Amino acid sequence: MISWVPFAVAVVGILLAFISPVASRVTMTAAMGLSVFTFMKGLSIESAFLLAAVSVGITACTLNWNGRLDGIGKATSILAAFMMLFGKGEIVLSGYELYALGTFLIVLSEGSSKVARRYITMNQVLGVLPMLVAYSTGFRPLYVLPILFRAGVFPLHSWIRWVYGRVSSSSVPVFILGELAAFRLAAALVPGGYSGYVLAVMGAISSFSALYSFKEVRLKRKFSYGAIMDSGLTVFGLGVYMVTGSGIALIGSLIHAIYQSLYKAAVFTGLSSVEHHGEDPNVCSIRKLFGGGTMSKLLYTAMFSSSGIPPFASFFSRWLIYQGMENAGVFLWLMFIPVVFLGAFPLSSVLQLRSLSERVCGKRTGMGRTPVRAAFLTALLLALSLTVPLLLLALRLYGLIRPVPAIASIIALSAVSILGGRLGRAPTERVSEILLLFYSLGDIMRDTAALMVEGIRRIYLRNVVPVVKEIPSYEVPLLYKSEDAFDYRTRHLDEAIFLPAVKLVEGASKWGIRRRTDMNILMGGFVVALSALIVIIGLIGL
Amino acid sequence: MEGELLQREHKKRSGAVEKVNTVVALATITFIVPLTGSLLLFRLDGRKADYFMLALLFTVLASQLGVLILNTSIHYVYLETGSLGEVYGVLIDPMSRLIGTVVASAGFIFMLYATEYMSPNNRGHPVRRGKGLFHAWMVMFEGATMGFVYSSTFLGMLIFFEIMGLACWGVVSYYGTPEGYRAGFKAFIVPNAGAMIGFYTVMWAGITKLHSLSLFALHSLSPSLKPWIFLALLIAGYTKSAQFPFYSWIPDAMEAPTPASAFLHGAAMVEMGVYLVARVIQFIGPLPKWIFYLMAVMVSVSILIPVINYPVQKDAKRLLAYSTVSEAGAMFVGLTFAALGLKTGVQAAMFQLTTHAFVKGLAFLTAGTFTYSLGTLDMRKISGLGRLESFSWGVALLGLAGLPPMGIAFSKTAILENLRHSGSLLALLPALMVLLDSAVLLWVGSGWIGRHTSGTGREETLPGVMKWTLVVLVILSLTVAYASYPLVRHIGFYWGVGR
Repeated sequence: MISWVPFAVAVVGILLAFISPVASRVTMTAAMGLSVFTFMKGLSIESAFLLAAVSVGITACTLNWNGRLDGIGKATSILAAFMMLFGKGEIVLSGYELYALGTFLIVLSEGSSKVARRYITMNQVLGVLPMLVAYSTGFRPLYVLPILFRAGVFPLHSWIRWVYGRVSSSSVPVFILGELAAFRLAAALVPGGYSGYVLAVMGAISSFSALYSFKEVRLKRKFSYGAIMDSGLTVFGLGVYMVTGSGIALIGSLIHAIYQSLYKAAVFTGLSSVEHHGEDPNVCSIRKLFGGGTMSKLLYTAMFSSSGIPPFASFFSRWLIYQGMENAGVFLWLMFIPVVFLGAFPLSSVLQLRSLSERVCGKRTGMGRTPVRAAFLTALLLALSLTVPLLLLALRLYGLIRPVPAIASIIALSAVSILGGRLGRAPTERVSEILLLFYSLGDIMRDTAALMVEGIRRIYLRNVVPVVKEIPSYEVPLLYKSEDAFDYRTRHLDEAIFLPAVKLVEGASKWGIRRRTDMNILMGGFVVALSALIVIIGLIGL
Repeated sequence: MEGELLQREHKKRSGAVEKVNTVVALATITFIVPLTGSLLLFRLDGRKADYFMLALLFTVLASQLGVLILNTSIHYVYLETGSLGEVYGVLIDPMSRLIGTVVASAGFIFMLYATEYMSPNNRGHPVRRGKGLFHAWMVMFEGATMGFVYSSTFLGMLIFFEIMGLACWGVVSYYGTPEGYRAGFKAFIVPNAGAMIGFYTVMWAGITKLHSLSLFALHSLSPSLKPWIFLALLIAGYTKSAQFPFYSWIPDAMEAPTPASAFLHGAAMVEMGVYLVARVIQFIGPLPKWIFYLMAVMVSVSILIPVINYPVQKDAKRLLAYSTVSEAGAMFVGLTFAALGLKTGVQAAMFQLTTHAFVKGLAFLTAGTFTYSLGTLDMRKISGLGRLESFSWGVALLGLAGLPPMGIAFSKTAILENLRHSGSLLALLPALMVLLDSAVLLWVGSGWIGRHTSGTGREETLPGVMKWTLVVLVILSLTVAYASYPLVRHIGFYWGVGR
């Protein structure tokens, strides 16, 4: 059970966002204070989720809103995320749907309408509709699909790349809140069945996005790929829990979910201060803008958080998830090995970023002032990401840690960290050559998906459109998009049944016109005939 | 002391009788006043016609609200004969109270909008004379719909069904174009064919087998006859609700002036087909399972028609017309579950009818503003909509696609919730079709929203009345689900209940 006092204050703060952003920030800050107090008073996963949600929520409320539509979208999304996080039954369902609408408004107001359209349709098809069917039929395994979609896990991840790339960095915490809510829902999944394997496979494949993160130099894209990898690791941990029933894997996953929401929010808040100066964040922006100042250090700390080296929280969450593999079967181990190997890339990615920025960008050029709010929020989120999981660990570890898997996990993490360090210092070209195979695989998958969509479109245009529109057969090959069929006459499939009757009445009307009979008179005649029928029926009755 | 108690009891009884009489009188007013008043309207024109029409519809709305507030369920017989049993009567129950309120309120709002829409300032369809004729048909339409909603006999329903068809012909062919006349004939003939099959079959059974024309007598039908009578009435419902294979009259009926289209799609013609089948299911009793299978397949095909038609529509009203086929289909999905004996199926269908009325009305009236201020419904030529139009168009299209917080999201959830109790795999088919329809309409609709709202913001030159009706409909689209649900929950079956 979460404490309702900070929760209620947070909800009031979110509602106030519709009216006054300042009042909202003040109330949200109060909620933050209360949730910190609640968390310290009774360390639990629930109170940690509340604290993380309020912290990310306050970040989303405090950073700049781009106009009224964006504001409505953000306030709605944050409220809906809270409904998903702490509601039950219909509240969660409504929250999920409302969140889709709120985030759609954000994408519409900040990104392009094309991306917004893609996003909302994907959201509806892969998120809301399966959720509705799962809820309506009571078929619980189907809940996996909306959860995976919201968490941005392969193969439902493509929206993260479009959306995070398009919207401003200050809006990303709203989406992170949605991810957090998805993981909260995932915690309610019951072990057993095949859903666990599905989660583990999806999580393992998602970890490959670390490779894409490694090659990117545009920071927003880099971290959006990193986000997919982190979500993948969490989902993999949940899969391990569902297959093996390992409690330590579940705790590790949930801690990773909480931690990654805080660290990702910190990174994107940091990037928002780059965008504040009108620049798309790239390798050089960090140096250029912050010149090695406090913000730069904060940002690097946030990036290091994902690397799996102590004392950063990712190390502890990975350590716990890896220990959950103790009783895993062959299939899980086959998935686990690439997950561990790919864990080397977050560290190498940060090291590569540092060396690239030193080599390419030079020193301390174009200094700008860091917005105080952004710096404060980044520091706050980072501090929480470093302390909250540690405190949770202190509570939860007792009785769960077993020496052999614990030591084996530390060895694995150390090996991977060394590998990550070497990869980070190696020349970029050489690493890229090694990874070419994986990039090609990604391209093949993307092209296959595009081919499938194109195939469906072709079938519709070539085979379905000629059925519903009267298009001469020689013009059918000229249809390339549905708009090409707009000007053809619609073919009604049912007309053959009633066409003779319609023609008969049309003929009667023409006859009436020739006879100078008004159609109103004809209809009047019909009314008289109807009245006569009523009288006859009445007479039969009497 | 005893005398005082008796006096109090007497007062209580006479109070109850008075209440019953008031409710029956109010319900009767809702259809008698517009039907008689419409005859006078044929002789009026201009502002006089506006005021008289509004006075008539306000009377209907006020009486209906009275019926709603008095909250009494009554079956009142107007005429009863020896061999035919109940010939005319009214049934005031949660279902008729709910749908009556939807019809009366939607009708009043749409026609308030029409007072400005039907004007010389309308760029697409300037109207200089003949406003009274349109108002007369529309008021007659609403009167007939209210009569249909309250009727408790098949003869009463048939009469109002035919008057609705007549009024529909009047409004669809109102502009007097060849396309309008053709569409008018079609809109008249197709439901009439259904009426002949459905109502005349049940009248035959009523006269020869049941010796009663009352809905309450349906339960006494022999088990061998019951499915066939239901099937005949289902055909009547399908023709009225533009379901496959009788759907094409509805896209063609777009020749009607937009407020009439809104009423036809949102609250009257199409919805009354669903209402008819719901009424029959309420009374007829358990049906064989093959009826469920048949309905499930038919409704799935019906929903497939708009799904394949959405992407190739350029006319805003035609796009909405196809969405009406699918939304009515969603209502029939609820009734398909009701055919299995699930009370929640009827409830969900009526819930969907209620929420759909206002969202669809909003969509049509916004499309009407395109005709009014841009003179076109070709969606390729529309861009840079003003703030209110953009907002209402967005709310309407996204609402029709089933996005919350618009009401259809909740009613569709209520429809899908029946899956849990259906116990049949085939039940998944119509449910999946409803979801597919939502997804495709969302894809197509969001594309158009993006296109229409982008570009330089055009200054809105709409009259105040039109703007305010849009605002009211936006509010109703967002709130109607919450407001109507308490009444929806009271809808149930009357299997084996004597009158």
